[in-house]
Amino acid sequence: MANQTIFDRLDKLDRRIYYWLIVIVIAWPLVSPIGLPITVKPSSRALYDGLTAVQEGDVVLIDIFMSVSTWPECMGGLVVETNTLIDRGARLVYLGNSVDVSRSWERLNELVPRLGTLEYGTDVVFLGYYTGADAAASQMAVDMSSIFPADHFGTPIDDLPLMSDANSASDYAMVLFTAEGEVKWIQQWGEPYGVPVAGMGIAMKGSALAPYLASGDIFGLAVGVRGAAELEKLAGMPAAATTTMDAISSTHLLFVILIVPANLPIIYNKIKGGS
Amino acid sequence: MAYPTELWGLLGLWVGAVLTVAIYSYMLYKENPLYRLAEHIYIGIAFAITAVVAVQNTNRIAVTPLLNGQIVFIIPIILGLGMYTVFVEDYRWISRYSIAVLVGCMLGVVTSGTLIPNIINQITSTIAAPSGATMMDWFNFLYVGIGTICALSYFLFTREHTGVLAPTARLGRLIVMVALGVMFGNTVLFRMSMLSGRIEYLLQVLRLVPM
Amino acid sequence: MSFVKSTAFKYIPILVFAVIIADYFFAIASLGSVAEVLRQFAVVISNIALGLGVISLLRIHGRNVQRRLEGRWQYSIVTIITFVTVFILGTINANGAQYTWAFNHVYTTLQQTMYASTGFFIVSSAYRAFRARNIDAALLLIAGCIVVFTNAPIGEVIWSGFPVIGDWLLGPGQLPGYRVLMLIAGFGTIVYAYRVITGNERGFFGGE
Repeated sequence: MANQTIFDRLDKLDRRIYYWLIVIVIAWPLVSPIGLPITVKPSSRALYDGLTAVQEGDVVLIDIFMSVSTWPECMGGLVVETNTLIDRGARLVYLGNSVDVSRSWERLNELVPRLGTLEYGTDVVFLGYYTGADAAASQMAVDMSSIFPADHFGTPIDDLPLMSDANSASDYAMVLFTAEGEVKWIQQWGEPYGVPVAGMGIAMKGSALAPYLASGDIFGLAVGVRGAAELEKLAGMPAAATTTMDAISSTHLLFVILIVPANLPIIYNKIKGGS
Repeated sequence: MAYPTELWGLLGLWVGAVLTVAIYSYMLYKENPLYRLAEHIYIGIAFAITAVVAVQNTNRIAVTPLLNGQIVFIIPIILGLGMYTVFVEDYRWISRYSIAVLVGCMLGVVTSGTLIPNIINQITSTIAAPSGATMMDWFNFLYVGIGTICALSYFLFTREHTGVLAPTARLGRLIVMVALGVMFGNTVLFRMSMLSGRIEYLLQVLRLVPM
Repeated sequence: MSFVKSTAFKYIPILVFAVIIADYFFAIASLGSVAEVLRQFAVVISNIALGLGVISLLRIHGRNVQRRLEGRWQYSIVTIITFVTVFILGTINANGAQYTWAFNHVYTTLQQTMYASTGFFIVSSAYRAFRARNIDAALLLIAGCIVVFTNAPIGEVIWSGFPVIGDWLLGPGQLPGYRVLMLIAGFGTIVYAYRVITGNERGFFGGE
């Protein structure tokens, strides 16, 4: 006990102290924002440039794969994508592979009131939930109506003018994925039919998507809440993701601060020649 | 979205806040009955919503077309229902037909989809030299090329990592460690942004930050 | 009957796989039609199969209540009551006020909260688990910390080099590692498909 170093004592510290520390460190910049500048990564800029290159009347498929749990990461980016595409006059088809996609759709409509001003069925359609992952994506590329005989609200697909113009992959100008599930769009739409694919991935998927970006299978990628904040900056509409970045700064700083003292004894012992 | 003023909206907001605090009471205090209650409510409601969505979707994509004359949909409906025989020992063999169709189809779709983006394009991208490139581009090309070969050699388990394979496998392992380190950094961003979202929600309920 | 119960189903993945793969490589109209039907079947089957987890859940919690397992059966009743209530509300009217309220305020909140709780654990792991005991771990940790400071705007404030090195790590730096993982997964998929069509892979059929 007498030979305990400060690092040993810190090691035995009740972990609840760390948990309360992280709560304080998150809450403080949310209550009192700092506003640190954000630089934009090339992959986010490429995504945004792709969105602004969409022509009026182009049909864009947007996969809201995200569960409600990934809203903090991806909803900000989805809002920017939607606003930008509406500005470009694109026609939008939304669907999702998560059971709570309807809630995400409602939330998107709350955050983008302009969606409600579009003519449903002609300028925007929400197809709703689908299962089957790759098999569904593969079949949708050939015939959307076989997977969606009706939209989320029960309207038969034949009664939606937009869907008669957009029933297979070749009718779409772009596919945008959100959070996850991007691989099926790359493999079933991008490669076989040449449909440009891009989107927002959760931060954890950023690494797994890097090879697709490097090989050109996706043309742009915004990663996590950082990517969403970058899109907000590019679009000139700072919102929730930008606000969160201050909390990200404080928590990340705390994270590294906690790692350093944990490793100091190891470095110290190595220098002294011990194990 | 404005702070709700009507009763059910306010009630929903505060119920959500109480449930959030109940879940986090496990980490911030200790395991307690409130946490267990919230946890079990979550399990129940999550599965209920999954079941509701499954019923709605089955009705939309299979039952309605069947009732509208597309008789062929009787086959996947029977196969799908056959999956539930997995719970009955004597009839479990019926579920294997459903699984067989599902596995065959998914495997075919995934295998055909994997060939070009996951294999051919990755190899092409690795060996294709940059054009009109700067010194940095050439450095990156060499790093990625040599790194990919070394990392591949590390994952060769049919031959012992000795001789010429020893240094390449070792270098490959270090390169994989760099990649995993990057993923770790991104994971921190992911987890912290999730948690920030929840703390922000609680602050919004307490009206310390605007909704 | 024994053939139907124990053998016939083993040939189905092979046939279905062959049709789907052939449709990918060859543009034959009749083959394409069969492949389309099979893909639709897979979607419907996977949709109906969503209920499997629900049945398992009810069995486990039902058993807890039946056996009056100490400290658990009361919570299992809560789970079952919650499930039944919300399921009935949703089935009667998925747009109804009560179901919508439960979806928006209970489910959404709890789903986000449970997912976010891992944020606490990664903080405690920062101090307790991330130790650079050897060169491999040190490399992982250093790369991770640089990316942490690249993702956070404060990193650029601390040192302007963080975004430069971090962007390189997020681009070419991590590429060899993940590219190899992707190649291996791709080759693994093909090998797995070969094992399935030659009948050597039967694990997904469960115990026989």
